[in-house]
Amino acid sequence: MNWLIFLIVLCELFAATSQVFYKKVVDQNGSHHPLIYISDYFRFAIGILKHPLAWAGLGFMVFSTIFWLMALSAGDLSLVFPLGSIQYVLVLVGSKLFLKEKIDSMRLLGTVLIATGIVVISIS
Amino acid sequence: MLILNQGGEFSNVRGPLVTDNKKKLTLSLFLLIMLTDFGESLSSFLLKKGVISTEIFPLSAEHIFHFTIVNIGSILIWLGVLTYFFNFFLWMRVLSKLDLSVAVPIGSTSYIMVPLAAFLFLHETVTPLRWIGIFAIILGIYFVSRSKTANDGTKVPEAS
Repeated sequence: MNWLIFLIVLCELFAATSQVFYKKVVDQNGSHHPLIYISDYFRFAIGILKHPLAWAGLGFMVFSTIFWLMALSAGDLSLVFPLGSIQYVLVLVGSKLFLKEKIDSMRLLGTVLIATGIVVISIS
Repeated sequence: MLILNQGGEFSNVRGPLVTDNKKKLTLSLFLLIMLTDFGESLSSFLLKKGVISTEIFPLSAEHIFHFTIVNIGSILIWLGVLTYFFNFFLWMRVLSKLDLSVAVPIGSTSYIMVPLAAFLFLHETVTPLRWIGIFAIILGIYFVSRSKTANDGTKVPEAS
């Protein structure tokens, strides 16, 4: 049972890491430019694909998915699904530590409510 | 050449502004997040539908090769992968406009939409406990969308 929890935590940690990487990519690329012409869309996509962190993020996501499938096939689903909601907490911590985002009490409360709601839905 | 130069100047001038932007959650961004949620479910559905499982344990080159050969011709698998990549760019677009700690929590709409769709269209019963969970998520999304930096955003510079 313990290794299953470890596997899920690792899976969610990898997923959160890839999200932080993705965010770094779009912040550094200035990807918020308006998309008007088709060429803008291509420039947007190519700018992302040229960034090494985007590929690192995709790599983390692939491993996260593999771990998730392993957990699903090996474990009790009523344990695996609720535990998956720790991703929201990990993303919050990652946003604060690595992206310097300001987390006010509304955002914290909202995220905790969402994570709790997911736990409730998946055990019911 | 002229266009290229303009493009370079464009990004040089506006590059440093990116981190200063307060990101504003608009209705269209919210709908875009819901679209990426849907795309994620769609791609998992296609992959799950399309995959033909073969023996891959114990992990060996032979087993993995066999698994690849069996699955590589599947149109559903390719559609799933294509959906995944398209969705990846949509998600990147969302992230370029919003804080990560806003986009990810709001990206939990599929947890609400799936039970609600099952309730409305398939007439499945939703247990009281599940209603409580759905309500908690809706309330949570509302709180996150009301959070400070998500909303008192200054204007994102327009293209000139």
